[in-house]
Amino acid sequence: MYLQLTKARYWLLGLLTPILFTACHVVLIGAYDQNVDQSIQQISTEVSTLLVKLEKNVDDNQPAENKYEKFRDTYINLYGQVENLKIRTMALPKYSKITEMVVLLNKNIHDLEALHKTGFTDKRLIETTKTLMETSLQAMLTAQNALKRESV
Amino acid sequence: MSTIDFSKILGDMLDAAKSQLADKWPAVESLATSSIKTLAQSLIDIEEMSLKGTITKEQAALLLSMHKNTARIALLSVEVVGIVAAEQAINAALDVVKDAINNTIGFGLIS
Repeated sequence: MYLQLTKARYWLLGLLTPILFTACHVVLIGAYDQNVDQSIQQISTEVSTLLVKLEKNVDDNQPAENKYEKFRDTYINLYGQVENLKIRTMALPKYSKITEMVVLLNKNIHDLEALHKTGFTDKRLIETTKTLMETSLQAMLTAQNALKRESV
Repeated sequence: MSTIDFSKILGDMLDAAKSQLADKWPAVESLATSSIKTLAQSLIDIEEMSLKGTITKEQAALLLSMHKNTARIALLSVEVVGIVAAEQAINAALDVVKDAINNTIGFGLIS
């Protein structure tokens, strides 16, 4: 009886050890998600296009072309994409930091729209806005690249 | 001409980031410093435009709000990079333990 119990203990140890060590692979933050990455890239392209258009219109001395009304649909489209991105990141495990970034990006787009309503006629104002938007989006893409866990 | 001292504000922002990121700082220093430099310069630009009167108070407030959001996004990104670096370090250490056990036993008990 004692011998049987000792044997059983060894079998159990042999079975559990690999399971325990396999489970020891630590995951501190969510896995890379291609849809999230592509959505950020899509938003980045649209924001850049919007800001480059604004700059070009100032350069070409066509300030009337920068009226908010001409870009209203672009903003609606951007809000839709950011909202969709937020839904996606909220559904992913260990993605709270990425969701927080998406919420802040949404605030930045709201501020960009509010600035646009005040009038984008000054080149330096557009350039500073562009730098801030690009820094936000680059930071978000850097985080996505880190989640690929290829190299840090 | 801006009244803000670029070096001073850059130093203050870097100190705040270091304190926030604590032990993750060495892994993310280069990335964080680059983002913070851009943000410090934007702050100078906003102040200069305000002083020259090329932007209104409302526009300055909106730019500052964007600046704040962007700084938070940059810090979060740096934090994510630091977390991944920490995760990779922990798993590398666990792999060493795994190899040591397999070598001691003489066969690949743990894959």
